[in-house]
Amino acid sequence: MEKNDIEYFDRARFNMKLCYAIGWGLWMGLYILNNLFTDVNDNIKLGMAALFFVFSMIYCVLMIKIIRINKKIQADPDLKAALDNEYYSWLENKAMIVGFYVFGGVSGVMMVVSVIIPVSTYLACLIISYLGVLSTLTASVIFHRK
Amino acid sequence: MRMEKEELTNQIKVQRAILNITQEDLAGEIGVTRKTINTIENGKYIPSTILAIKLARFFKVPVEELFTLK
Repeated sequence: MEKNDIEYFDRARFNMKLCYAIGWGLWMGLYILNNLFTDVNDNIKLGMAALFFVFSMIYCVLMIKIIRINKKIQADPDLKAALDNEYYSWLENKAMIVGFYVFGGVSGVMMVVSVIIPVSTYLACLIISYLGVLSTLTASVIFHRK
Repeated sequence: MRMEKEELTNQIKVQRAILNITQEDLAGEIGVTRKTINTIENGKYIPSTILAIKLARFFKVPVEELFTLK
């Protein structure tokens, strides 16, 4: 393990995480919007479906890249220990806490909203998990950027 | 009883200057990322006992000399 390897993989992992957050945000965001606004023009729906397809492809490619990078990291125990050091774990924990509170908060909001207007369980679950995951990923990117 | 705010200061930057090594060099020697060394050096992150001992061993100084509680 070269010391440059640590920085290279650290940067690569950060970039992947950033792209992953954007990919998730756009992909699932469009999917939710498509489900929310069902009575819009067919052309708009088609455009959104096309964008949804493109972003889902980007997301899949990134997912494969992340798995490949992780495989390389797992193969080298010293590199893994250096990258997943205690500071990294601490930041990941902080991001998880942010995600937990957002998850709880959005669940509460969805409960209140469902009392006022009827919301499908499927859509409510989608929104809760979408925002929960997105906030965790975004918090992780922000914490690691510093 | 009024608790006074305690602050942990460190001499990593000074020790690095003595040895004339960069944060990246130190990170490589200790087996962490440069960001980790940077945040410890700036007092943004308090390292675990294990990491503190590793750093002290590398600089060949006692832990109390490297990290001071004020």
